[in-house]
Parts: sequence; C-alpha cells; structure tokens
Amino acid sequence: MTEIIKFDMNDIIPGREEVLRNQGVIPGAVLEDKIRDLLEQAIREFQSLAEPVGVMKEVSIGDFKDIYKGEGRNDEPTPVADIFPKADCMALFAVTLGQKISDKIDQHFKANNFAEGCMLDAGASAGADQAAEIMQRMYEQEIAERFDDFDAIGVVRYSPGYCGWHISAQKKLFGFLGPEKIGITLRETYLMDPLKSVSGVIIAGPKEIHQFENNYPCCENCDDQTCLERMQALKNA
Amino acid sequence: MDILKQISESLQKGDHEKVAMLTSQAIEEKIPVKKILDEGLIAGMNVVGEEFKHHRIFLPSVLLAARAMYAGMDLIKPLMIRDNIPTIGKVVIGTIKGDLHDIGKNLVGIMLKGAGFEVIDLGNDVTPDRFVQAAKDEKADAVGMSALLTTTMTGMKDVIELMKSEGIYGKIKVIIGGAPVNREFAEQIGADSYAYDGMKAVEILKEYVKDK
Repeated sequence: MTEIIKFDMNDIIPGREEVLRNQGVIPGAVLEDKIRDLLEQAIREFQSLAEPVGVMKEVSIGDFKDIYKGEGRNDEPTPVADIFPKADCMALFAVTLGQKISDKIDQHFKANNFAEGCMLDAGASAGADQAAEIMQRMYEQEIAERFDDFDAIGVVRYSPGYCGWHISAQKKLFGFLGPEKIGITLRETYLMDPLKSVSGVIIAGPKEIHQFENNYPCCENCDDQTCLERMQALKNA
Repeated sequence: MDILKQISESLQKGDHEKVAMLTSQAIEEKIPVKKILDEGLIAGMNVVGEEFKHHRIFLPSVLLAARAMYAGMDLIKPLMIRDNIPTIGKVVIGTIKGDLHDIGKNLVGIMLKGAGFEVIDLGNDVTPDRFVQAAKDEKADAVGMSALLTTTMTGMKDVIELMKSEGIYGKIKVIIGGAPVNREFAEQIGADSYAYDGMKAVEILKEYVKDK
C-alpha cells in the first residue's frame, strides 16, 4: 500500500548547527551578528516556504531486484546489491520540500544575495534529509512488531546516485512508487524536481547485513565518509 | 583614508551599500577604473580569500563580501567594456550531465568573478557537447566542471575525451571539483587540476593565467 505522509513542520526544521556545518562553519565557532541574522532569516524562510510531504510503499525483494537493476548501469559489485537480497523487508520512499523553497533560493542568487541563498540552501538540504530520516523512523515503527528481536534489526536508507547505484534506477523507482502523487517529477536525466527532494529505499534486516568493507569500485574515488559513520552508529545502537 | 582602501575594507565587512557608494565616488573622482578594480575591489576580495583559507572567517562572510564585490563591479563593468579593459581570464563552468546540484558550482563562479575572471556559467545538467562548444566559442582559458554524485562524476571524463577529439585539450585548462571528486580522480581522467573549494579554484586559475 502506498502511504502519503504529511510532516509536522516542527519535526523537520533544520538544526542551526547543521545548517552552519553544511557551509563549513566549525561547530562552536564565534559568529558575527550578521551571520546569526542570516541564519535566523533562513530558518524563517524555511518555515514559511517548505511544504514537506512524503510517499512510501513497501516492496518485495523480487520487485526491488528489478528496480535496483534500473537501466543496467550500476557498478558491479555495489554495497546495495550485496545488502538487499539479505533483507527481511524494505520500502521505497520519496520526500520533497516542494518548489517554493527552491524558487526562493534561486531568487536570492539572482539578486546577488549569495549568503542568503546559500544559507537557505543549506537549511533546505538539512530539512529534506530530516524528512527522509523521519520516513525511515516511521517505517521502523511500522515493521517493529513483525520481529521477535527488533534490537537486532538495522534499518538503513540508500539512494540512487550514491555508492555505485546508478541514478538511472530512479526511472523504475518512480514507476513503482509514483512520487508524482506528491509533486515530484523526474527529468530525462533522472534528476528530481523540485530539487530539494530525496528518494531511495529503506532496507530492514539483521544489523550485520549493513556492514561492509569500503573497498568496492565506487569507494575508490569517494572521499565521503558518511557510510563509515553510519555503520559505526548502527554498531553502537 | 584613501578611498580605494575604504572600498577594500567595506568589501571585507560585506557592506555592499557602502562599497557601491564609494565606488561611485571613486568613478566621479576620475580614479582609473583598473585601479578601482585592482586596488579596491580585488584587493578586498584577496584579503577575504586569505582569511577564509586560514579559517578565520567562514563561507557566509565570504558570500557577503562577494555581494559587495558585485555591487562595485556592476558600476565599473560598463566602464571596463568602454575602455576595453580585459578581465584576468575567462572560465566556462557547469555541473556535469545528470547532476542538478549546482550550489558548489555557483559558489565557484561567484568567487571567480570576485577575483576578476569572466565566468560563463552553463548551469547544471550540462552535456559534454555544451561544455566543449562553449569553451571554443568563448575562447575560454579554462573549463570548470562540478559533480556531487559518484555516479555522475564519470561524465567529466567524457568532456575531456571530447576536448581531445576537438583538439582543444591541453590548450584550455580543465579544473574539476565537487564532493566525490579528488586529486587522484582528476589525474585519472586527465584533468589539469582539482579544487576542493571556490577559493582554491581561484588560486589555481590565477596561477594559470599568470603563467599563460
């Protein structure tokens, strides 16, 4: 069944530290008043312009195999390809903050208000991620009762475009999930409009299936350490 | 205080209104446009760049300074065109095909303009054809490519291969950036340089046009 989820704005307002961190500001750094004012302005704009909504649909391993394969352009092997066959259950998801916030970011840049544009962009990215995180937690709650020992289960989301899962897989993901229902469309180049949208799969299974050595072909040129942080967090959970 | 120094200091503070007012005043006082640019605006941005490089200020402050730079540039650009004053170089930039993430590329463009470059921004989702055609048409000194996705960064190689087949590889510098990209990847695909942020891109390209 496809679920459409409306978010409570209070749940997705980005944390101020995260917004600053997204722009390279070191946590705890002393900021000038004008930078604090920019941050508060971005938070206010976020609250007035973001229209967060999500869609989620459970998918079988068999169906996901085809969705994952996409247009046949994935790296081989990839972490996701090794993980999903061992899953217990999974769901496709997409979330968006809507078009208004992206339009506002563009307006700021066109008016040479770069700092305002960048601050709002950083906030919107954090907010979209937060919405995806909430979807993941909702799925966790939904499936918890299916497991005798849910503490042993790891629930993690993965997105096309990352870790060797080619972005062209968006086409089949969209075909199955139908995020058009919440206003997300796919460009010919497999990118989403509105820009501040996140899509992917939430995979639930024994925690150890999400642990991998980062020596896949896709890891070779990747400096992003978030997978390592995520695996460590899962171990500690 | 010398008006050019005031322009520089106001720019460093991100006071775009004051920079515009002082630049107008400098123009009225018949200070050569090139001098206003070099000793006022660019001098101020150079200080901002150094402060950023040494982590004494952060991106939002750089962007406020950039807006102030643009406020001054808007006033002197018509005069630069009138007097045939060249920019320090021309750079074609864009986010690679299949990638919509252009905030990083925008920042690079802002900083390059702030440093006195002419920037031809092709936007996002740019095909190899468009990169190469723009580089040829604009007689660019450099092409700058950005990617945020690990699955789109490989498209940078396609641009370089097309540059080779069009005979402009080696004549036009190729600089790449973006979260998943690094120096090793740049070497692998035959890019001349990798820049981890906008200020580094400015530093590299300034050296390049100086040596040219």
